[in-house]
Amino acid sequence: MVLEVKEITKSFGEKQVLSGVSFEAQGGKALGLLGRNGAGKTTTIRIIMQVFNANSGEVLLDGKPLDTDKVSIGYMPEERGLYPKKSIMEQLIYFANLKGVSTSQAKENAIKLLEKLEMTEYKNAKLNTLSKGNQQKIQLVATLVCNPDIVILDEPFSGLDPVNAMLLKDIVKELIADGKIVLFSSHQMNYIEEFCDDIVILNKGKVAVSGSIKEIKRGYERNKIYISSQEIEQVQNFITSNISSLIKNISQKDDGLLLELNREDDKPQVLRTLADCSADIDEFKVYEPSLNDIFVDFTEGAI
Amino acid sequence: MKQFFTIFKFELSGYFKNKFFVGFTFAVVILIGVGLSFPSIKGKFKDESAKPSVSEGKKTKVAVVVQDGMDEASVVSIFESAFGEEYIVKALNTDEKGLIKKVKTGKFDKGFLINSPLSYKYVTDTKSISDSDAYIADEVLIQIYRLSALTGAGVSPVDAEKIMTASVDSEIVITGKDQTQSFLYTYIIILLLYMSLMLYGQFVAQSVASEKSSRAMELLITSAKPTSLMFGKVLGSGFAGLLQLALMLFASFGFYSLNKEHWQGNEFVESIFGMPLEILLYAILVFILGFFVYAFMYGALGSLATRPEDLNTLIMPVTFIFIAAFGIVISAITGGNLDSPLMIACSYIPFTSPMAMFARIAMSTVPKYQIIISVAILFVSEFIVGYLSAVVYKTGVLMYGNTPKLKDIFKILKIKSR
Repeated sequence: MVLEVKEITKSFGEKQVLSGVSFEAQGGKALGLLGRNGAGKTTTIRIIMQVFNANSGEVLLDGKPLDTDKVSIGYMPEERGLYPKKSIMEQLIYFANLKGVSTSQAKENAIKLLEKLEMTEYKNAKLNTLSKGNQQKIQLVATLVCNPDIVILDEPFSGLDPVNAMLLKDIVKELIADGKIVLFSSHQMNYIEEFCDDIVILNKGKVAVSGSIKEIKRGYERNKIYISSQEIEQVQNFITSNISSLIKNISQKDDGLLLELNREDDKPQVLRTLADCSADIDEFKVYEPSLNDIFVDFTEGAI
Repeated sequence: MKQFFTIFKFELSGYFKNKFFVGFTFAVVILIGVGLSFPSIKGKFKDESAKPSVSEGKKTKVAVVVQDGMDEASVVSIFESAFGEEYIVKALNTDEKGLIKKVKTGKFDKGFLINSPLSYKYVTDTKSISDSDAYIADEVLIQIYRLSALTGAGVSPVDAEKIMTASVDSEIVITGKDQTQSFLYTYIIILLLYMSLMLYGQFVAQSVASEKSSRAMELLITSAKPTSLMFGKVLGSGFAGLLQLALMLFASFGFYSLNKEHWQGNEFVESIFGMPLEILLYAILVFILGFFVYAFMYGALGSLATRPEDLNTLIMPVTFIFIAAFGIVISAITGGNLDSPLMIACSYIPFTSPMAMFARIAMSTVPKYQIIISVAILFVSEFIVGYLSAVVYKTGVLMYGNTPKLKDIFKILKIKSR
């Protein structure tokens, strides 16, 4: 399955929210949908889910216009919300029914998911009697109870303790392994890096960058070197006194040094010179930007 | 359509699981049952209604002081017969001060100081709103005066008595409605319509607003079409309301027919249950049509509330229209002027016509074509109001933040209708 978002534009009144957004999500892979607040992520998601229509552009599944009556989409909104005063099973069945799943099938799906998330004992409880983390797990069950082909998770890990986060990770991995299309929106870059092969970064309603994380990282100049050592001061002194002409910028990062070279071809020379340094060097590698760096670069500022 | 039925069922089951709703319905049914079965439980209601018993100790003591040589004995006896069994009338030989003292100290409840055949002073410790004793005294004195005037003019006492007690034999032919008969049930049904339309309309608004504030809407709006969501909810609430009303009506008529013989002679109860069937059916029709007009608007306004506390401000304009309609109709039925230009206009305006046209049909004679036009306007309005409300709802449920003002609602409608 391939979900294609093609050149969608959307404006609310005078305000242009999306202009020509395009990307592609493959079944069996997770796509990270990133962007600062107000970049247009939720609007994009709502257009995919046909809450409203785009002014132009189209959403295709396997080349045909996406029909939400035939293809089930599971959505976990960033703003969590279910019926606080209704029993969990009752509302899970209701949400599945709305997606066209029969009551008996919904019950079966719900029981399986509740078991997986260790929540079976709460199936008849009212939602507002549960802790926040447990409510979050129920929200996930509500997302998946219709056994969706496309799963859209907006900040799924917020509010979860490490144990629950592990449970959720397993479920996300399972969804990917089952060949489902997973759209993953989060500001926690570590989770994106863990699950997603591909990302789309939206900025002010436009795609700032999209593609595989590896490719995007490779697209960066390879003129930065990271050196880690227990004797970092000594290494820094050695470099500044011997090869300062090759260095554009030098700074300390974590437990090491980050060197920005004038030319990426000078890397072998730096390595050869460092062989004469008496300090004990643990690591010498080309520095690849983190997803956080990429995000900041493409969205003009910090998260 | 399937989604609509899912939502409809969910809303309806929400009402059935709501302890307050179920409890209230049963409490009312039980109250109706007990109320209407009361006479047969007591088994002696007819006697009680015929002459309400007042215990000996509670009889009202009236002192009569006759000052100017009138026939004291005959005055007292006429007073006695005029006031009836609940009063003990005694002649007293004292002056104004003495009479006031007697009343003040509680020896007598009230007193009449008769100065001349056509002038008296009424002394009472407490004058209740329903006190008609002075009026009775007026009647008695004027009768005594007229009798003595007639006999003084040479008419024999027997003839004078005949003249005084002459009565007119009359018969009333009503070609339209008898308002004295229809007033009570019209009033009750208008009140019921008012309460139920308002209550269920507000239930819809509350339910939409709470879905939005709990953010369940985020999931709902991505799972179902907004029109299904709104129509499912409105129809679910409407059906619950109708069911509740039907249950109450069924209980009322059921218990009444079980206890019918005990209520014979009670005009109040008989006039309510003597309501023609077509009036009842029309009441149900206007409940259904009126409910949707208001529930759609309430639903749309509920969708604009970010927090439940915004709701009251938002629904106020609709509630105002509703209260105004109720006020106009109630003043028309109590005043009996059901065919005033205002009422005729109101019986065509969709927001007022459910109550106004109902009142006119029940208490006046309305040409058939007027009824048909009114119902047709109301029916068409359902679709227009339903469509406009759905437009507001679609946008409203996704709007969070400041409570929108009336001009914002028009803006939504303007943008969407482009």
